Amino acid sequence: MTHRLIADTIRLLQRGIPAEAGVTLEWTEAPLDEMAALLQRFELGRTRKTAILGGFFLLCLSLQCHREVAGIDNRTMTKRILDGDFLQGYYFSFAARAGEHALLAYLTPALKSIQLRLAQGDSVDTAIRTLFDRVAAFLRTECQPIDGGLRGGGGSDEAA
Amino acid sequence: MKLHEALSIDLAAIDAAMESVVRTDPELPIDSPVAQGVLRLIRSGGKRLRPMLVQIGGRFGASGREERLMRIAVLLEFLHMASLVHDDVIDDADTRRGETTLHRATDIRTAVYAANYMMARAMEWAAQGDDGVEAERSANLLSLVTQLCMGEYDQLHGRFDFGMTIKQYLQKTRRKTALLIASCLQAGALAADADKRTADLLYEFGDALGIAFQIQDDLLDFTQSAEKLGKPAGSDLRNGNVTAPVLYALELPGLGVDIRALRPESPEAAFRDIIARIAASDAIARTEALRAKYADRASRFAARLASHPTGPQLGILLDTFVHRTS
Repeated sequence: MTHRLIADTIRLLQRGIPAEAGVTLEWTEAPLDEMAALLQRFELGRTRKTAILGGFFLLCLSLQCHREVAGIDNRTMTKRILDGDFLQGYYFSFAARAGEHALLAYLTPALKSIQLRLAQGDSVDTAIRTLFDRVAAFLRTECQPIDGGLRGGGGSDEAA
Repeated sequence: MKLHEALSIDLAAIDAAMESVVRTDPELPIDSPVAQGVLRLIRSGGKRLRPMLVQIGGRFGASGREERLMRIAVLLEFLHMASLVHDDVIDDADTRRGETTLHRATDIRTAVYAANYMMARAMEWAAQGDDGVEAERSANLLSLVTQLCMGEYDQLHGRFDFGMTIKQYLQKTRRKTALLIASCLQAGALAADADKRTADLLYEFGDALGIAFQIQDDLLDFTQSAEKLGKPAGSDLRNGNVTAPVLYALELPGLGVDIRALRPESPEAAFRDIIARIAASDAIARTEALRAKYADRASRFAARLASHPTGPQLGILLDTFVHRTS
């Protein structure tokens, strides 16, 4: 169930990226399975799960792109900087189009803090974990857990 | 008379608001490299064209939205400044507006994240206050960065690509420059509750204005002296950026062949020779004609807003953007 959600989300996101950008979405280090499993514990329709998972994934990828931009050839550095910027911008348009205004507002201070701490020397792994925790906090604050408590198992997915 | 004076825009207020974004962040120590770097960027100047455009757009709507307009103006200027910080890293630039670039003052990693911080913090700041900007509106504005990136991708893939067409050049120009200019005017109008027709006309005016503005910039790169430019003439071509003067020069016998022979590793003397020949060729007049075409287009959209009290200010913008010499 979670793997299908992840695959569908990545497919949806990829469709929104123009070919000229040359950005291929790959699930590598982002804790997508952990986030997808967490989403399944809340009373969320499939569309919302995809939107939140997609937004989280885009932000993770953006952070990973900007991870190592020093000490490499200029063309690779340029691509990484641009890809990171593009993915961050795509998060904003994706979340806004999906109607995730509450998520956008909730994450705004966190995104600021994450970037500031990265500038001050934090690792990207720490940043991604912080992002995960903030999205999890958003879910706990804004969304209804299944059966009134956090349990494992599937959620009430809409038809795909 | 300077542009902001002609338009009765308080630049000092814009700069104060921009500094406030940094100074009022409780998480940012004011003596930190990030804070000092961003403040230095703000104080290094800049024409503040984008905030001015937001405010002009806002004058086509209702009064009383000044706080909201200022927040959107600052948000978009921070977006622009952040993109310049990343551009400077990519271009390995030592200075911008006579000041040491952020990545030289700190390091590449810090500069990349500081620019990201600027956009995120501007969105946080814009949401504050009684007339704060809603997250959805800010997100839609910050998502413009994807189009800026598309323009940069166009430029990256088009380096030393002498097969580029004028259509591709205009697409790159729209993405890199015109879209943000158009969006500033439109965003200001919408934030002040102007009607959709007015906001759309301002967008179209801004799009044409922005293209004319960039064409003028590309022209100046060949026609203006190094002293006035603040960088060597012909920097675009040296970096492999194919602009309108080059595209028209490619059609000239002899010169076109020599341009096509240029490579990144070509000697400086070869670049200097070709840049001088382009500057003396018919390519300049043809580029001026292309600029005039988009300036005329902007004029036609401005004419449809002429009856509004703020209408004449669009003419001031057009005159300034298109006929500037620096």
